[in-house]
Amino acid sequence: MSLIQQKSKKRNVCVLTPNATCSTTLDNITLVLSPHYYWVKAERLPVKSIHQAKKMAASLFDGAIALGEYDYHVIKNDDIFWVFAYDSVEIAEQIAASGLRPNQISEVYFAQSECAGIQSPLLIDSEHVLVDNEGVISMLPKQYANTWMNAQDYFDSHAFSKHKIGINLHQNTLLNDKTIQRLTIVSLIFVLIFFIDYIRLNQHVKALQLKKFAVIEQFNLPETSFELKGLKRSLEANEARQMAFRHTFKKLLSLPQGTSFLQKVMLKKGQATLEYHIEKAEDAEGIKKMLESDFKILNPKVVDNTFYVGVRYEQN
Amino acid sequence: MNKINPLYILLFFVFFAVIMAWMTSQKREQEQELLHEISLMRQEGEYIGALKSRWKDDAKDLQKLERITKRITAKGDDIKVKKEKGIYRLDMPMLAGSQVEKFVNDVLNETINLESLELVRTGDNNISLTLECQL
Repeated sequence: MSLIQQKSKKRNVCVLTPNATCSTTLDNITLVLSPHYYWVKAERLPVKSIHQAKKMAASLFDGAIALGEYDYHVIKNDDIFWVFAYDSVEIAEQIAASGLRPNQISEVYFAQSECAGIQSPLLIDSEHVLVDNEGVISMLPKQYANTWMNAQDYFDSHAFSKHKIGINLHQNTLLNDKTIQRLTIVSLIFVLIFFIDYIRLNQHVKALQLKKFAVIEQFNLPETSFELKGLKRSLEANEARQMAFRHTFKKLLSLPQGTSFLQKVMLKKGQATLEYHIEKAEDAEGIKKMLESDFKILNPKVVDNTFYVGVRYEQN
Repeated sequence: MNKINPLYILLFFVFFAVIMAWMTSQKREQEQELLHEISLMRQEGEYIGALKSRWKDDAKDLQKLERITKRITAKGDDIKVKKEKGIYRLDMPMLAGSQVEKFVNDVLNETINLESLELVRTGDNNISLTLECQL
């Protein structure tokens, strides 16, 4: 058994050790990392803030720990900086191996920050104890300790510190953390660009809608395209009708005048009636032929020396 | 931080970016449609406005008709004018051929809504003219 679980008033505490297994039934687990999962150095540094110390963290462990990708955490205690290096991937893998899911874990602490100053060794699994060695917490085989206290009893009465670790327990196989972070930032930038563009377009669309109404008012147009088409059709039809009227009247007035002449012409709504004075009946045929080339002839007749004829013309 | 997988956060933002891109493209389409619609309406408006001013301006039509009539007639000529149910009727029973020719030419060359036009030869150089138009 390498993982101790215990229920305190509000916390379910687990101490993570190698070859851990853990029940998957508990939620809101407080995870305490045993020293197996981190390296720690206590140093006086020529900086004032934790942020500045964190920037120096990698160089502090340079050559002291195996090459790899580490995350760093710094706790400041008076003028001493406690600098931690840990491998998130290894921790996440160990948690997965123990049977826990990342979303069951609510907080993660280092054993160093929670167990510093313990009076007697803490039994954390069947084989290991935690000991305080001049302020540094170490994990030793239990054979090295004469007496020990059960870790479960210790955490029951322990008030946890404020030094939680922000650790990503979701290790994705396809993309590492930094790639995910960069892609997230790029996506966020795209969201912002599209959002700003959307706002700009939305305002422009509103302005265009107002402009559309202004154009409708300016030209006194109907609001629907159906009404607009109707109005246009009616005006075009009227213009075509007037053009046909003029064209027909000019045609009728251009009939030959001489011994035979136009006595009366009346043009109205697609029809015209003519009375033509003729010298002889054959003249009517000539006039009729001339009219037939442009119009449809209606009721032609000759009475005395007058040729009566109606014509129909296209109005459109 | 331990509760949410960062991959889910990335997927959320990617999804959100796609949605925003789609919404933006919809808005852009709407903008283009409106621009096209406004340009079309302006063209149609100008065209319809021109048609209306040519054929639907009754006051102007009346002025034109009176001007043409005055041009070919003199004071004391027999002219009858009647306006009923939107139809303006002009009777001039005693016109010379040259007067009629000028009048008809002028009327046909103007944009007046003509309903009917009648010419009747009543003597060797005497023509009666009746014109009806919508006013």
